[in-house]
Amino acid sequence: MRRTALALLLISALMMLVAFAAAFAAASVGAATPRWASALMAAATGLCLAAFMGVALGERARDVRIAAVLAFVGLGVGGALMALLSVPPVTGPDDALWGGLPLGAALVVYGIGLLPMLIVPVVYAWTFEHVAPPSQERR
Amino acid sequence: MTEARGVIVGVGLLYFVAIAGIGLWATHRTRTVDDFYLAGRGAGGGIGLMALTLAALSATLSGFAFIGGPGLVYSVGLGALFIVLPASLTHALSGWVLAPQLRAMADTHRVVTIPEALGVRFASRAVRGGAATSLLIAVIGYMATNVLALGLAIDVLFGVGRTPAIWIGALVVLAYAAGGGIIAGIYTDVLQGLWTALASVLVFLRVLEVGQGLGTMSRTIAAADPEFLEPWGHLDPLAALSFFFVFSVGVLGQPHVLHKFYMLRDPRQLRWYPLLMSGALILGTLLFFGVGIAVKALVVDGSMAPLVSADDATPRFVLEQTPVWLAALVFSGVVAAIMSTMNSFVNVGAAALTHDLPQVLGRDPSTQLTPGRVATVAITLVAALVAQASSSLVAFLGIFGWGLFASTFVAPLAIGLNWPGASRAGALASIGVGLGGTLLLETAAWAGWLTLPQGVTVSALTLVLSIVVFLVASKLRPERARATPPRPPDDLTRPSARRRP
Repeated sequence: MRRTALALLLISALMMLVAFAAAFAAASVGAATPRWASALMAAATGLCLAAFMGVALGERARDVRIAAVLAFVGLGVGGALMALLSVPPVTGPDDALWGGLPLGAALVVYGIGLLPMLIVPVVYAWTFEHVAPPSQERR
Repeated sequence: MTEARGVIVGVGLLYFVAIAGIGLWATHRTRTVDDFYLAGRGAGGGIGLMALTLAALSATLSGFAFIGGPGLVYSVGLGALFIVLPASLTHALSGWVLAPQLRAMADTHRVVTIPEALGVRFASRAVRGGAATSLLIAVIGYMATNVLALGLAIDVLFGVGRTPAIWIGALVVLAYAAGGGIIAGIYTDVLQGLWTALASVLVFLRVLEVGQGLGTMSRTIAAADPEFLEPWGHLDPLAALSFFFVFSVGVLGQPHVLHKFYMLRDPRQLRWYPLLMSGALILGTLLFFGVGIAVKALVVDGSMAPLVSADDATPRFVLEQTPVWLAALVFSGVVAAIMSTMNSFVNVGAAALTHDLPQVLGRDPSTQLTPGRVATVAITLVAALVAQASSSLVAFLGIFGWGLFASTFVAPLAIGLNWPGASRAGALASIGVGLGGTLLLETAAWAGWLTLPQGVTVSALTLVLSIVVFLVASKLRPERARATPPRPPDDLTRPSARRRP
């Protein structure tokens, strides 16, 4: 499990380097950063966060609750960041609002900013004894 | 206006008196080096969960959260939020990746500093020396930025002029940091954390009242500047995503926050740390989001004159749109946020100077309090002198502080403390790439020799490179026999291990 996480960590880091290289290449000819480079960075960021968790958790990541969180972070957060690239632009004051914000902004604030707090730290607390028993107990 | 100024100065003075009281009490309690750097450390001494949370909150939220952040939202739109968006993820991340590992090392290896933990893990004085050197350079940069910000805030509060204000701020921090060490730091952080969170929440409620709700502000802004409300605002998407990456993964390399895990009295309390810390940080950053949006809406509808400088967003909002007592709370909150961050930095910097570097050079670390106090004074004075020298130099130093911590500490700590295959060669290579890459690229960018494309930052680039180099070098040069993983988490946490007598 840890080996897979390490491989994913390396892959995600290489994906980011490719995204940065694309930005450098575009800038050298006076063009804007290509959209696919941003999409690559978005996917790599989610993958990287989940991979770091996987490296630390090792075999304990097989617990279904933790596996679900890793999937949420890796695919959910990464997917949401990618989805932002496809959100229709704000056209004016008559656009529909979600919680007081246009769709893309609502996805940023509520979906990426707040929703993970209701899931990730809660699962951390729920699985704490399985994942990281305190050092006194270990002894 | 004079009456308002009187109230603001009065609250500021009240705040300084409270800080001085805590400093005196902590100086009386500080008797050993462990007290000075680790608040007595772990079981038997140490701190509780609430103190840990508020201290970590205070160390994380600098003046940027109150001044620079809202200004950035005002100028670039919602893309600026990608700096604070990872808050709901990062503390579970550090809870899984580092907190139990570091807390266990405080018990088993009696480590005092983060570079020392790396030195133990990789059985290498070179790794420890490289980490301590990076830490000192970053601390001076961060401290200079924060001393300057504190000076500006004190000048706004008391009107004494910028240079005297810089020295007043430095001396106030010294008064409690040099005497009471981290005990003073932790308990002033508790006060400062509560103060900043309260100020942030109250200002956000005022934002909603003044702006007649988030929906009204959104419609006002959308009519004039729709791009402001798009997910990336006026930023290139790659820039916003780089913020998200650096400020999420970078949390795993911030020694002034991480070393507080050594101090937790009962490690079972770590269970609730991510939930509490995420909640506290979200409350603490409400002002960051709210003021940026509100000022933009007020400027668009003509209720407020356009800002001369984006950094005026918070001062203008609180002075023009909030009651005087709330303005006083916010200005003191800004001072509180800066002071608590400075204290955390100066303490880890002093520990590197008096504990890590002597041992790296083959000398015994001092068991006396005096060297720690002298180092605290020296670092603060150097930072104050740098803060006076050149504002562009200070801005440059502040920019690379976070990136230097991230690029030199994340890979050896987050991967190294968890992967038995991590090697000394990997740690040395990644620290070298992080330190050398950050200094070279930031200097080249500052001097105009290098133009980075939109969306690419030195901190993101060097952080990614250091991770790749760490993994590859560890594979190519395993050296497993030389490394001594402190307490491999798997062995410690398997159920079978717990059943052993």
